[in-house]
Amino acid sequence: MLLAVSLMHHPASLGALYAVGLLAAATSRVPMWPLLRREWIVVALFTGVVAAPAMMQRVTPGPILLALPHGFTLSETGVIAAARLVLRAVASVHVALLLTQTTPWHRLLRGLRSLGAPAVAVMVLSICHRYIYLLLRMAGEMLTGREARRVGRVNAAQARGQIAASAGALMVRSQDTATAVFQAMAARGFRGEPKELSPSRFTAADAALVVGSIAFGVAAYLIGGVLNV
Amino acid sequence: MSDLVYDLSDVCYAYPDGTPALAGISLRVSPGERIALLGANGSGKSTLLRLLCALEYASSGSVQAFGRPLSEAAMGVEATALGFRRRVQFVFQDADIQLFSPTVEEEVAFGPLQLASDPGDVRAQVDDALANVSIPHLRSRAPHRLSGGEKRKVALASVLVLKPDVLLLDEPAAGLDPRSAGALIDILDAFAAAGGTILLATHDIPLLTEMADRAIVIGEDHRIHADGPVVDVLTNRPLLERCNLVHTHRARKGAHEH
Repeated sequence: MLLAVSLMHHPASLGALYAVGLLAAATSRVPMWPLLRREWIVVALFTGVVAAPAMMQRVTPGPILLALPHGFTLSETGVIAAARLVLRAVASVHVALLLTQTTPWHRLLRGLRSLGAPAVAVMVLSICHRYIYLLLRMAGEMLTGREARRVGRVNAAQARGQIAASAGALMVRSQDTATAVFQAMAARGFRGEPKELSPSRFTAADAALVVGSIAFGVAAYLIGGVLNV
Repeated sequence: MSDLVYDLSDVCYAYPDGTPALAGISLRVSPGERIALLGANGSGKSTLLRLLCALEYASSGSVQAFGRPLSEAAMGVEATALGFRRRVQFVFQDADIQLFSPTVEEEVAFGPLQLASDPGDVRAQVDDALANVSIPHLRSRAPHRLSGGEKRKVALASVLVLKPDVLLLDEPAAGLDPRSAGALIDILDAFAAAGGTILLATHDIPLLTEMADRAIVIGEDHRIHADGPVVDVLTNRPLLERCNLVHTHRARKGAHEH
């Protein structure tokens, strides 16, 4: 689906693909509201900032679609370009989130291995994912501890100082944790080369899925071209 | 060759900033012993366990394991290191540190795979280890989503799967509810009954008699203050008070004070 998203360029076909993704999420019983909130916040923050100015007549010349106060005008070409950008971004984010929400993390990592990602890289990714939550918990406890002992308000400068101090303390603790984790691995014989229980292999079923996905993407592109949508 | 598991002579250890953690530690450990390292926080119990597991190395003095020097140079030889790791395993105090794999199965398989077991055999070894600590149902679970007691069992399974001769445990009963603590003691009893050697660091006096036969008391000066049968150590109240393992205090119960 990601391939199809990247091959399509008409907003209508991108919108249709996004709708298919939403349907897939609904049938997979993924909680819709949190999913939509996450993907639209990401898109609004990172893509909306770029897309909004692109709608202006001055930035993207073309037939005027709408006149706004203070002499601003939206061009049809600009609105289509912005819609394409936003829909492509939101459909891509949606597909990525759907994959991570419907597939256990360890199976995603095995998938990466079967696609040829180095064992060390996958292991580092796995440990990062594992310990980032531990660090977040530490950070939360530090903030809670600070709040519990604070009386009255702090001004912005004090708040910045406290955040910097917390970040420093957290960095020291993360280094200690990293050392301890390495020792835990070393104690069980780890010498820098991870070995796996059952190395994932790229099977015929995986190949069929890749070919099917490419065919879907190309078909979507061609149909979009023929129908001009 | 010596029959001793460990032979330490006048071992000192200081942190990189120079702060002493162990001073003049001499002790001998025979196969099959169940030893508790007792001491207040900061006395050096955990550091001693790390030295015994070759995760840290003594600043001075000599440490021998199975009749051979346990030094950084010796552990740099792959065959020596792999041989030692097969025989000595460590259960960390914080199970969150020890459990870094995405699933319980992969966690338990980690050690045998690193120590060059055949992956085909590893599955059977994992099955056995999970069954031994009664957690086969947790096989596909993510370790970090388990309860404290379950994490401790996974941590134990992840080292017992290697069938080590020596088990080093840092505060094994800390934070466990009574049922989980009981299950832990059963597992350690089975390990000891099979001839395994246990060294554990603790200041959990109530569980001590169930987990160890010999106690080594490390004082706040990082030196050994007593070494003998657990019962003798526990009845030596001046020693326990001096080493900050018990303290006298006022206790109020209703109108009574003692």
